[in-house]
Amino acid sequence: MRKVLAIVMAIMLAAITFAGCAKPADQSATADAAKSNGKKIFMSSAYYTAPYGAPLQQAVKDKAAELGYEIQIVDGEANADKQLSQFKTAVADGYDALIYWPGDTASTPPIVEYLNSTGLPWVALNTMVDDSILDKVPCMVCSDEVEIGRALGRLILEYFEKNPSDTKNVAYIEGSPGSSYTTHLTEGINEIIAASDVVILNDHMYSEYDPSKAMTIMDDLLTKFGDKIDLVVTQDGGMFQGAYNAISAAGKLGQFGIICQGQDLIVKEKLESGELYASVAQDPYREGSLSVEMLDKLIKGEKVEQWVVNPTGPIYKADIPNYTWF
Amino acid sequence: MKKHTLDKDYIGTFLIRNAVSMMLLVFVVAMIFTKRSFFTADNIVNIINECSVYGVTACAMTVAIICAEFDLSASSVFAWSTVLFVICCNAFGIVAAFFITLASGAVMGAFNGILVAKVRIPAFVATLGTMTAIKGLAYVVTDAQPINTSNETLYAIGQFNILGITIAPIVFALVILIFIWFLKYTRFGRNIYATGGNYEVARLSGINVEFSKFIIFVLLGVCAAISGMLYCSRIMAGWAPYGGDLSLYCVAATVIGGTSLLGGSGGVHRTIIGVLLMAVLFNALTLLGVDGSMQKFIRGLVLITVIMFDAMANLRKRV
Amino acid sequence: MRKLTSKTIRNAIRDNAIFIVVLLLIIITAFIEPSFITWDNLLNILRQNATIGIVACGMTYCIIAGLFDLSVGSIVSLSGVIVILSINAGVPDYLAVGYGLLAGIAVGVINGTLVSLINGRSGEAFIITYGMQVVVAAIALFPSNGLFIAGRVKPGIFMSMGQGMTPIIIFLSLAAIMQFILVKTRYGRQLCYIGSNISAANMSGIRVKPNRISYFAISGLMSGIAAIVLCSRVTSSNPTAGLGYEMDAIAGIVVGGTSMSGGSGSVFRTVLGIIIIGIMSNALNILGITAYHQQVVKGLLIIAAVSMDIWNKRIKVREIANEKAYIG
Repeated sequence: MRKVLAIVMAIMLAAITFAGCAKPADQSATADAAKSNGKKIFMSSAYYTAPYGAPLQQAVKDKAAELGYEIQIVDGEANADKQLSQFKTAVADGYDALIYWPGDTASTPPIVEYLNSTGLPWVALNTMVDDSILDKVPCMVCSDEVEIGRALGRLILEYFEKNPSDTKNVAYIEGSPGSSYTTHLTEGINEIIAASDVVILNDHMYSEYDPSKAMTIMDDLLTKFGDKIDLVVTQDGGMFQGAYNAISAAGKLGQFGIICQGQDLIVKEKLESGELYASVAQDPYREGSLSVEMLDKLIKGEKVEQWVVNPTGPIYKADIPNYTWF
Repeated sequence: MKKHTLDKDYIGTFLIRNAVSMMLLVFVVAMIFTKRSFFTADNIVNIINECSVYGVTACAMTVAIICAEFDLSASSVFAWSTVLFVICCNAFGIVAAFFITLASGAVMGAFNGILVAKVRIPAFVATLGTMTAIKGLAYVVTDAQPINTSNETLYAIGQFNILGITIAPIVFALVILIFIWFLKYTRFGRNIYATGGNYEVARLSGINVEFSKFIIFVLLGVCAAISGMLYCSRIMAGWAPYGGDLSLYCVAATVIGGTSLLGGSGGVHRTIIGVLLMAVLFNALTLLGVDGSMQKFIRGLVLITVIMFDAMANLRKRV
Repeated sequence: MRKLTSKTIRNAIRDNAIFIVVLLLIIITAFIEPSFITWDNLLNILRQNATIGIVACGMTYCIIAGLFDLSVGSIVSLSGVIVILSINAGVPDYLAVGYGLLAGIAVGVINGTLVSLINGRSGEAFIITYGMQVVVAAIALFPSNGLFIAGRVKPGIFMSMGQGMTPIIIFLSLAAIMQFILVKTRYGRQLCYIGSNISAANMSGIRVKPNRISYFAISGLMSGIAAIVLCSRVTSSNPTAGLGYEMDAIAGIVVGGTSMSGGSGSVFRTVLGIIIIGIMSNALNILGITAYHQQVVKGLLIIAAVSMDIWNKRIKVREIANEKAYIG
């Protein structure tokens, strides 16, 4: 019995070591095939597993391969201390450039300071850094989240112009409490609709970017407000999927409009069918590519803008071909 | 829980009994040969610095497990401590903040302790409830936003280092020594072993079992608070989602180290091995250039392998 | 004939502490928001909690056996990914569902085998399933690369599993079947024996190893079923769908009253526990209490309810002891 276990253990250990060593071989192969320039980039993603993260990281990998860099992306698990430690490891391991995707804004100062102290070129990605150190970042590639919110706000006003009704009640589903994206979007929306008579029916309802939770919230909102709802607004495509399912299960499709943000395939589908009034852009592929481009420029010593804004704007049915969908 | 001793040569017995430590050794040696950069001063210092923050709470969790109890709320007390500490640093200065946070950790631990020791709610349920409530509290107080501080003393403390070793490992080492002394040389410590081994027998032999069960939670609360403050010193910020994996991390470190979840045996010195093993593993995976999802995969596999190895080495004859 | 003394009333209150707490909550909420107390809303609650309910029922067997299964969340994620990918690839509905279930059972069998190989108790089961949770979650991310995948579902078996009354029916019938097996069959009794005293069970001839593997397999199967219901409801798969499920399931089991140390328990009580937590969440949602305030309230409610339950049991034991002392 013991012998069997010992053999099983040995196999497992061998498998693990093999798996661990196989990966870097993989990655250097892709760089070699292209025109490898021998430089390595290290990226720590706070939200590695988030739906937005997948296309973002794919774009980073693709662009890096295109420009001839070797790249390693690790999961920071939204843990600032862990990300700091990961960067220290990378620096000790001789990486040439770094990409930092922060988990939350408040913990960025010490990490930004450390990154600057290493003397290596680096960029910040997707999450905005703390205001106090905005000028210390060599390059920040992210969307103006408040502007996305404003775009949503403008779409809301536009919707009510095109579909006049006595009441302008909006059911609003948000992401995660404390996520800067969530907070800024809400800020932008409120800024635009403050002067109008649009009413957001519910207090903050957080779906934590989970379609299933969004469906539950939509269910409950329908129970509570029922026919009072004139428009549903969600903060991303995943939430839209959940909300849409809830509305369709309740048989209330077509009774009110829906607006969301996102470039998911489901969003594209419903835009085409007309069930979704409009969406707002935030392109992860663009963002990911841009970050590597900027990093490349920094490595070569060129000047870059401090804040490279990932462009946004409303997406209507007619605009579909102009955007990438995932 | 008698472990099955081998009657072979001493070295053989020693190897099997300390299977996990041996694995750690093998791992480290393998890494030294595979990756030059592993064995640099920079990297080793990095490993020690990083594992110390969570390590402090792992020690306290070991004490709780020896007493046959669990604490799921450690992660929430940790998060709450980071939040409270930052708020107090900004409002009152670091010294007051330190004592207030420490006290709040003790109070929350005491609350858990009363629930488990006095009201006799199973630890799992009690700490599940407190975990949820305290985390919610951390959100409410900050309105779910992360908050930071630019307190200069805290910054100086965070940056302070001797040859690269920051304050965290120093605190960790102190905590380890205190716990080892506490468990081995004081009456309270021995009582904890007895209570964990067999509650009824301990009670009948006159040991104050209620106090034992109570004090372990207070210790956990205090240590979670200390971990939180160490974390703050490094990143100068506090937020409710921080430390979400702390409880499970501590339990994993304890069990890997060789302390049995059934209570009554083990020790803090064993947990150090567990903490080190996990830290070395995480570091090694990053150094080997392993991508994010593959890292998770391997971590899970190693966890399973380690525990199986250890259990196999100490295979119980009876079912 | 029992008189309606204050003592019997007090006993009655303490006996059903947790229900009274929930009842109060229901009454208060219904008063503030009448839409809470509608048939539609009740069905919504059952439907929303069907997924976690199925998972919790599956885990109950493991808990009664004195084991843990922390991998259920990841199994839900993985099964979901497999089913949706199969459907999108054109595989017929019943086959896709089959693949998902197979994945769940497979992981469960692996869990069980690993634990049995080392004659593991709760501690080993804890770490092994924790490790599996990490491993399976990573596997779930591979095919989808982290993206949530919209399913191209057509009306059929799969589609109907998440709509209307079907999730509720699946949930409640599975619970009923499991409870029946637990209480009325030899297999169920063996489960309780193994949970209370594993050495005694082994010595009395019960084949402990295969039994324990089956508990994990059942847990995995239930997670697979839950995944199918979930994916059908949202017609998509989310590779991190099951995150945190194990904690929610344990919460349900615990609130229901099953002991964490094993040996006894009831699937029926787990269902009750899940529904109670579901009602709490729904009531707080409808009242408009924000998510994080909800957490504080929920945590305190769980503690309060269980406290009253435990306190009640202690008082009862003391009363019995007192009576016996008096008589004796």
